[in-house]
Amino acid sequence: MMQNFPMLLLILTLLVYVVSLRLYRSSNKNILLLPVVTGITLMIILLSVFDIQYSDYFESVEIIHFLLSTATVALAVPLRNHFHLIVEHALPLTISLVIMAIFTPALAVLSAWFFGADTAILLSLAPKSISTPFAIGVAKEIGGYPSLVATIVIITGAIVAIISSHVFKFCGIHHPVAQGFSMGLVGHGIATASAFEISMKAGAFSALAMGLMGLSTSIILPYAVTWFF
Amino acid sequence: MKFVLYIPLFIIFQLAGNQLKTLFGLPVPGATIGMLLLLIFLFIIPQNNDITNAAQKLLFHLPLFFIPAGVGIMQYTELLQQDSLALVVSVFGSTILCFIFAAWFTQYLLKSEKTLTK
Repeated sequence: MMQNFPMLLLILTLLVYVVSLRLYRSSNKNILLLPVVTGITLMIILLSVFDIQYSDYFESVEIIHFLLSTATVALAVPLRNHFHLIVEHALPLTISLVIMAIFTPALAVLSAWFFGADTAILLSLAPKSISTPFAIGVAKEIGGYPSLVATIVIITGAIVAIISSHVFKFCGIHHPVAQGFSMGLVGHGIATASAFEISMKAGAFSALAMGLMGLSTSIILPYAVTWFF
Repeated sequence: MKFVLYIPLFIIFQLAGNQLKTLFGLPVPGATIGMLLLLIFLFIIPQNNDITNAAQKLLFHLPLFFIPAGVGIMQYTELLQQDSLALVVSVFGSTILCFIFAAWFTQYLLKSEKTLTK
């Protein structure tokens, strides 16, 4: 019945988002209540309760999905604004980026392959450390499941956001540039939001790493996949 | 409110990226191409607070834009159960390992840069 009213699903999604945002803020930004996670969970529960097919749902909210790509394009703006910082630490950051752009997808794919995951799952894991809009684009390119990729990427970002302060403490990572850059490299946008809570400098470098990682991985992976699979 | 005017600018670059992708059959996501084009454009025009504002406003609501794609996970419950061990190891294990390595390695490189330049 509800799929006959596409506007209703669109409004429902916006409502779910507002509720998730409120929950996160009123919980004093409890990392376990990240709006992305709560929003998706609530929406799945609602769709199950009203017995609505995913394809019907997606059609109704395609405009929201469209804006995901718009936001990706907008990432060029923080990249431009922090450009002088890239130049300042160009060499170490480039080395770190290149190594991590190879190491992160390789380790994700190899560890899942070792435990017997099938090819489509492996391809969905490869882009797990890049910002969702990039990752979904890459998944469509290389033949992973775009929705599965979105979920994997979000969980990955949440893990990094949750463990970062402990890792920095136990491993003696005090350099704000290293803190921010590594959070953005592995935990993309979700970790970047947390990096801004450490300091503006850490946040800027996280945004930078996220943009560079998304850019480099989404260019490299489609080519790498045609060699290996 | 002037920043609202810049959202269509991002959309123009997004559509241009998609067009170039289909035109040349590039295997790179259209949004990535759009982002590169916008980056070039931003170096040409003088720096502008309204564009920064527009991008910030848009990126703030990133969690909302994730929802339609993320909800799609409900289609893959069988698949997830079937390969659950591999997924858990890869998502949790490799993420934690990669992050520790990335943090240590980046700090190591930054410190050696300092000693080299001194």
